[in-house]
Amino acid sequence: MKRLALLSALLITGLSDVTSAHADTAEQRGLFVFQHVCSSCHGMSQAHYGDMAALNPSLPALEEWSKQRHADLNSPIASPYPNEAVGKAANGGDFPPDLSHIARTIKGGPSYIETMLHSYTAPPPGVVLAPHTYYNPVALTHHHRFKMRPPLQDHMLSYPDGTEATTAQMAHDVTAFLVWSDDAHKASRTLIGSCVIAYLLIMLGLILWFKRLIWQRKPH
Amino acid sequence: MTQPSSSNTNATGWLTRRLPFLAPLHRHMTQFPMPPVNGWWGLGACLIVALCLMGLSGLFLALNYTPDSQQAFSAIEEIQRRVPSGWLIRSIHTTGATMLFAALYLHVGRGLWYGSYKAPRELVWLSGLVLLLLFMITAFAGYVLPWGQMSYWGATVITHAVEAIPAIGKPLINVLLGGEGLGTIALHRFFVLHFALGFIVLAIVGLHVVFLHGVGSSNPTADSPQPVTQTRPFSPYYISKDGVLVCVFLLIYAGLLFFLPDWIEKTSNIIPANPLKTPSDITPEWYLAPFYAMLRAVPSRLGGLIVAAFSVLVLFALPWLDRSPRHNATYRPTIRLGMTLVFIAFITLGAAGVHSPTTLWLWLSRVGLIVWFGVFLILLPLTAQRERRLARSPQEGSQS
Ligand code: HEM
Repeated sequence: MKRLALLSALLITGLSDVTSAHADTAEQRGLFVFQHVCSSCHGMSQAHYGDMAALNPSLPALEEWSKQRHADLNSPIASPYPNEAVGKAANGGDFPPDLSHIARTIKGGPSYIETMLHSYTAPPPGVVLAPHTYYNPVALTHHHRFKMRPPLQDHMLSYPDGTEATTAQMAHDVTAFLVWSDDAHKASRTLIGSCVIAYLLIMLGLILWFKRLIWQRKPH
Repeated sequence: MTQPSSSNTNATGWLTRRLPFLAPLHRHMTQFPMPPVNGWWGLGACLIVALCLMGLSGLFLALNYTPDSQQAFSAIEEIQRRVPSGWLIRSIHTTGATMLFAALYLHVGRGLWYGSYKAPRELVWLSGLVLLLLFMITAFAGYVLPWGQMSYWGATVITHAVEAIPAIGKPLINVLLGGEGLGTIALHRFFVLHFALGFIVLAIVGLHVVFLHGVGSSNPTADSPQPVTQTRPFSPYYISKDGVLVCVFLLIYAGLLFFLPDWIEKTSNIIPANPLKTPSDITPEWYLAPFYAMLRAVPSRLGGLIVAAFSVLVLFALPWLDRSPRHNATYRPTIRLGMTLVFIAFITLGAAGVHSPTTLWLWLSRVGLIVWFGVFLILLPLTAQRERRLARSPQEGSQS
């Protein structure tokens, strides 16, 4: 009985994970932010335009986006800059890093990304900023003199699902998207994993029972 | 279930008439007499299961992998993101490496504790050690294939270490890498090496089991005050027992694979290899860490390599270093202490290998090495000598 309850609990947690990707979710709004804001400077070169179909079921819209960037659904979401030197020159000397796995590889992980995105402030008195430098007390590089211009402003976008596009909301959503793109199969992994574990537990129960029956007999 | 009557059915009857050795082989395997072994003897079955999973998942990975320094990293990403079920196949393989080594070290530990290496099982032990060495090479070669930062820099460290071998080191690395440093040619060779070794290992496992079946499993109760000599046929008694253990093994495997993937994949290896940027600390996978710690514990490159090599080679000599009639460490007080220390030393070396080499870790590694060699080269032969004397004149034993 306990095993049955555990099993259904596992199944339900697994399922809810998978279905969540199909509602209007943070990941989907995050893709919207990425398309309209981040991807004008950053690539996500391990992902293809077509991979986004897992979040945005409208293939024509995705195709349209890829066409605008001189690509198609089967091409990587490349950096918009033709080479590293151009990218550096356009961003005060720092190349905008590829975002394929940024949620896992950056120090501080997703919570750093989310906080950093809405922590830009005016520099404290006495701090003079070089050209193409922005003050962000959370940022990791150059002692808060960050080279990424503040990407998000309140209401710069209007979300198709009607969610109010505040800076904090967009930072939250795009972080969720980056977490998804780092590990795109997490939801299926949880679901399949729950089923596999449930299967193995039942199998273990059966084999244990079988073994006990066998070992009760005396060897002849 | 009581009668092995399968040879009467049409299909198997047809086969056994044409392959007459099948029936005696079947009888040998099912009726194989097993002494009252404990759960640690189930690890062999777990290893076979893990090995089969590695082989299968490896074949499917190879279908989608490209051994080219420009494409390898993206090929892995392609498998992870777009090949149907690719992420699953790949995590079966990467998690499998961890599970295989965990079972392997426990299996060897079982052999050390219960004296499985002794006569008449020397060939089982020696073939097992050959397997251990081949697995370390296979795992190392496999880890280079995704061409992430740790793949590249791990390979750099190890090839530099091998280059330290006088006379043959440099030519050996030249041949292995194709004379061009770590690039596409080298990567292609690592791929072929990894792929080929997988099958060679499979053949040697067959040999290992054949060697075992010549002499049978050892009896862990043989040295106890009340030895149990009654045996049971392998089928169905030990099939069902191994089945339970394999199921538990698979549960741990699945738990890691599906719910703790971050324990398996190091973050630094999802960054593409960059020959111009050394990672802040290069750490091997946990299963190679003890040997990495040995390389670093000795201040000279060649010395470290020799010590690491001898740490495994000394195991080959165990059947002759310990010729006492007693097997089970539980009933050999000094060996019980010695083997416990050896296990602690191995774990300490492993911990040292995954940490940066501070003075503390370096000295802990050195102590670990002294324990490792001290137990095998001094404590074990001396104890064995004493035990043999006692066995020859039992009165002396009761006096002391
Ligand atoms: C993937 C690699 C290996 C596989 C598949 C494998 C498989 C097996 C199997 C099925 C058995 C019989 C069941 C058992 O006693 O657990 C066995 C026994 C044994 N193995 Fe292995 N083995 C492997 C590696 C090793 C290694 C690395 C060593 C030692 C260096 C080793 C040493 C032994 C010994 C000494 C026995 C006999 C144990 C006894 O009856 O006391 N094996 N192995």
